[in-house]
Amino acid sequence: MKKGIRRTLVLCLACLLFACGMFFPVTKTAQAADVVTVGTNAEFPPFEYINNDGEPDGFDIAVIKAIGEAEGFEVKVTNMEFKSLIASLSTGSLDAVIAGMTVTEERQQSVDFSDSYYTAKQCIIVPVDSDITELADLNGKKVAVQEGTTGDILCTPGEDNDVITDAGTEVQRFKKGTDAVVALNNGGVDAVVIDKNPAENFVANNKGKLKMIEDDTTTEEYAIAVGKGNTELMEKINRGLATIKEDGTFDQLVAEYIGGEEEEASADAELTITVGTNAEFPPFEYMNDNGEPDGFDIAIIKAIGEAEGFDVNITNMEFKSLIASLSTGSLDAVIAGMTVTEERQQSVDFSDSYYTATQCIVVPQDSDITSLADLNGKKVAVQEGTTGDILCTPAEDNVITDENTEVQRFKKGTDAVVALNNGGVDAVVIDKNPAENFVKNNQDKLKLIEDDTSTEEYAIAVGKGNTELLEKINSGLATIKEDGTFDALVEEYINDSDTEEDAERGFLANLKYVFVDTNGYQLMLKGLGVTIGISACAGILGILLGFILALMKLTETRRKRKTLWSRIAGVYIDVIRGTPSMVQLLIMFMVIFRSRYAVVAAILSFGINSAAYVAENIRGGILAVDIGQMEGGRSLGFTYGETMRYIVLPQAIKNVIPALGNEMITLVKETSIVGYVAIVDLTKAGDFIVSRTYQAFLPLIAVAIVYYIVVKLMTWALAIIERRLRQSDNR
Amino acid sequence: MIIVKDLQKSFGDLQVLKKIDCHIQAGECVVVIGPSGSGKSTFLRCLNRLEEPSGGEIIFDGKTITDKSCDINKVRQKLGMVFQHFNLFNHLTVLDNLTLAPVKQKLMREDDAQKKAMDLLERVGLSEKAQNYPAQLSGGQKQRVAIVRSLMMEPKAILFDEPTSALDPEMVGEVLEVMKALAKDGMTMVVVTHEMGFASEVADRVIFMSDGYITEEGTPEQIFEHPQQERTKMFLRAVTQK
Repeated sequence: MKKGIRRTLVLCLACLLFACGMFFPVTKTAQAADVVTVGTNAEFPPFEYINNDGEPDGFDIAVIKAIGEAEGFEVKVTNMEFKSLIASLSTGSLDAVIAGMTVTEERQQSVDFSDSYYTAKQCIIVPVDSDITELADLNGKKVAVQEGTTGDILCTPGEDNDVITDAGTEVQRFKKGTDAVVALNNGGVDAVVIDKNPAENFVANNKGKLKMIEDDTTTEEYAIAVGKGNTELMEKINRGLATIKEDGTFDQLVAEYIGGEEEEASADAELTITVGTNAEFPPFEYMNDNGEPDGFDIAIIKAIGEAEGFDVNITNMEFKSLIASLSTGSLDAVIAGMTVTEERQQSVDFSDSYYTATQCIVVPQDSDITSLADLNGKKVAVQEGTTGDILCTPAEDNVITDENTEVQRFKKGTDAVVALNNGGVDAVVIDKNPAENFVKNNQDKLKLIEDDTSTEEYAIAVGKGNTELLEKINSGLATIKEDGTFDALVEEYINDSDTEEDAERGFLANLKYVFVDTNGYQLMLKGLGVTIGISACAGILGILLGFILALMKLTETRRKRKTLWSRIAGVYIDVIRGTPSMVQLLIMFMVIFRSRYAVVAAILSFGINSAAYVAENIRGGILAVDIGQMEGGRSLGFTYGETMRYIVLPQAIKNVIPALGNEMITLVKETSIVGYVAIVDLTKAGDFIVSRTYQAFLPLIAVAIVYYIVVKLMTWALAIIERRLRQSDNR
Repeated sequence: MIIVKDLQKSFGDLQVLKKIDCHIQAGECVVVIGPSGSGKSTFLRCLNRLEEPSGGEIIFDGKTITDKSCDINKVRQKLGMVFQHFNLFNHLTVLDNLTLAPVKQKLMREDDAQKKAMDLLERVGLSEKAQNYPAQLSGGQKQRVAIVRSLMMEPKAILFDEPTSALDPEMVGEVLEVMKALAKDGMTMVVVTHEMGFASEVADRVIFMSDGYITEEGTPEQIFEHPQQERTKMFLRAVTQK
């Protein structure tokens, strides 16, 4: 949810920047009247969309360019939100709008329309099994539309709307037609109302799932809008339109863009690429204060995406897994300060290099190591799978030849530095930029040694043979290098890293630095909340589920033979106890939840896991109640269920509480693995603080203490409950 | 009151009750004796189906309780049982032990049940223990509470399964006193016991069981003074030879 808002914000900001960039210079020259700024909303294929070069394209764009050619003016196309188009005409920041815009009386109040260049019909897209047959059927249904389009107007209940009158009709307004169709496919809405031509494309791409319904009441005319009273431009446009209709250009464009949708089919789909990174390599990639991947690489790939018109979805994973994920197709690209090596080129294709890096050696101030060769026979820490790893691993063709060289491979560069600070290793070999950061943060303790033998190129990796994406990335990279975006990002992320202050601090000052200045305490509090929330929900689920399982298993004791229920419970307990909770969590999150709703997945996973143990605890507790209690109850005329409820269970609880408490305490600590599914719990929060401060002692001890306090409180609570339950045992 | 016809009970391959026929009249106090392993307790537990009979028929108060269609819970409300190990509900006070079944089964209002419970406790001399938990009582006190608990249901008959066997010798008397009083009041009782004194003093009829059969029965005088069967004589010799 938060991510969605963030993405929308980024998108809006991007659009705004893009728009500014486009028409700042334009407005100056507009007075010369030979450049016309035309607004569109490139989310409406085939009339307008972002083509493979990341530029607005489509029938409308072609038409306005053809008109411009005929009338001798240059066309600048600006992409913005549909809603903003008319307003921009009024303020004069746009000269004209061509955006599959329907002529309506309402709009004629604000703008002037040219002659119509296209007659369109609104269509209804519904699932093939839907019983909706006309617009009127949408009354009271859920309908998705593209915000501000004719479909929106048609479907919004109102007094002057004589088809949709039911105020209960729910209209979901999407920024993009494609999102509306996704909502339909997900079952979130009953129908999508959209212009006929994009509708045909959508249905063609979802054959077998969606069908299209035409409704004759919805015929409409598309025209080009100009600012109210701008008759000069209006005349030009009408004359140009007439010209291109006469000379066949118009028909040609209709044939090219609208008639021939087959070849457009792939172009109109909004492209999102999933990019993998390993956010443990500052300043190239790291977790920012909001717990999201950030850094130079992330900014670069986003800038490329913007330039090329694709959305970027960043996934944080271990460095080692990146290349494998490219091969399996779960990632489209990888940007992770990844060095181009021959070995890697066997498995992936690399883009043009975007950064030249040097491997550096980080050593304590008093170390006598001066070059890579000095590391022979020493203990060296590296980040697993990085160039540093390759450089330091002894081999015949390597600088490091001594077999006794001990290479400690860490998941994170920061952990390698922590190992160095703790004296566990003699040196850390890592890329120059993060190395500079590390040393800056440990100025009095560490120093940096450059070794020229180790220069390397960073590039973006894509799946082997994915030339289409590779070309896009290379062209996007070229674009952002050209327009200065790249240099700005280098300046922002790589050169501007003197924000961290000197590491020379007293204990209290350091305490303040670790927990207060870097917002560590907030991170830990949030993490604690997550840990408690997940544990509590999973605990409740586990106890409920475990109780049911125990009763299922007890049918066996009562009937003195296996029953269907006891078999089911037996298999459940067997399977859950027989597999690691970590694996269960990963399966729940990645396989069952498809990497969404991590917290829900964690709660379910731990609840289901805990239930297996709780079930046996409860069953044991019930069996430990003397059989005479059951017979005593039954002999008084109670049924089995009543005896359980009034007599056996109240006594069983007393037996179960210690084991149950033990299980709940285990659960709290076991949730510390949720970091693996990208949940920031208490443990992960501590981990973040380590990455951020390059200190392990304080954050980890603090995390341990907090866990201890939580467990201690639980123990106290349990003791109180137990004492109350033991009341009847007092003699 | 209780008619048993051709009752059989097996645990797996072991046939414990082979063929039991007997007829217990209303108001009668029947004492069942016999060597251990003769099936006395099993016989008693079959009478309220705490053990499921393997064959035969039991009719209680006109109802064939061995029928599948019979609601055994309804039968047990009127057929009390007192156990060797008392089986008081350890998590409840004495008073709650007594009122739980009549109140939860909606046979009595809570205040009526409490009043009745206090009356009965008074009669067995335990009214000051009403708020104690079973763990705070002696064995004899527990068993008296257990008897009162079965009385709370106003049963037509009570089964006693070795009610004094788990007691220290000095507590046996107080329990037997309560049972004697019950018999005097005309309660139908089936008592499995080793207390020969109680049997000869209180029983209307004594049943001797061995090897899953009733091998001899009669008045206490007939059994104790003039036993006919060799097995009975042997048993009596063994238990009286203290």
